[in-house]
Amino acid sequence: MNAGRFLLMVFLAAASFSSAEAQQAKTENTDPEAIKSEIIRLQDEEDRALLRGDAETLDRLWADQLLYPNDNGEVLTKTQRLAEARSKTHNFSVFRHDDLRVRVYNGNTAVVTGYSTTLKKYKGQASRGPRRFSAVWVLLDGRWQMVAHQRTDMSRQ
Amino acid sequence: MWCILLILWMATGFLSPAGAQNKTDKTQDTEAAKKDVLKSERLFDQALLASDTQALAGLWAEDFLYAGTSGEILNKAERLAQLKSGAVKYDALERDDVRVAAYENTVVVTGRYTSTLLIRDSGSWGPGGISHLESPGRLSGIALFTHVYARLGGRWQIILEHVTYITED
Repeated sequence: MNAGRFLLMVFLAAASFSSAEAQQAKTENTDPEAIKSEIIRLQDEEDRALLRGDAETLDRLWADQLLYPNDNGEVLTKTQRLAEARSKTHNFSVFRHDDLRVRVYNGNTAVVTGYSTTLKKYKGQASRGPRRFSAVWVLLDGRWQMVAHQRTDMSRQ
Repeated sequence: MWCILLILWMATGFLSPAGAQNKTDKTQDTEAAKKDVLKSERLFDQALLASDTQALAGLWAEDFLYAGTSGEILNKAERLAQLKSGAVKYDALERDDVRVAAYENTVVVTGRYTSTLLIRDSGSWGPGGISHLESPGRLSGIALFTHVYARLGGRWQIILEHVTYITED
């Protein structure tokens, strides 16, 4: 390889690096309405993945530090939630979300609230809800990931 | 040849240490964020116990949301009014099993509250008047909570509190 070609490759690599950074900056500056649509799309993707027990998709949607307090008194980690999805411990048969509302902060944090009337079996016990849930999404490494989720089973009241 | 070596040195010298430095800075930032937020959490519990709505107003973002134990959602003004009126008074509040996850501009805190509330009268806060607080008296129980902080205007502010009772009497 001659010096000219090598120099060209170095410059191309540098340009590519800058472009990736610029792309990330662009993603982080998206307007709130676009972010809200994206979060609702991701929330829907998560619902479908939970229905299918699709751990691969959930692995992508959930942040490594996910914290998941549930209405059984447990705070589950991502590893535990993925294990549940794979083993169908948490088995969903119907998934419906209503009254979804998204609030965006700093362009990199989104809070979703809503109701779910999900038919599910958890450790063999069936329940339908309705449940109040909140979910928090953060833009990490250029993509939105769920960092927290909590729900309250309103049928217990 | 010296030219190629110089470029390689520059590429590795500028990019890799910058990346490593960046990672170190981020770790230090998240550790500092955790420390700041845990300090706010202590103030938060103290303010709840004292019904100090002025302190709570300072800790909560303008867009603060409270997802209560009956599934109600209250905004900042509604939750402050609930506490300020004395309709709900925290008599005891202890936390354990606290976990913190910090990101660049967001911190999530989860934990377990063991609390006793004094309910002065029935309430109708939130959409549809959903309220757990329909029976005056004492309400004790254990609840899981999530508190979410965002760095807004240069300081950490609570944007969400979600509380779910797991036992009550």
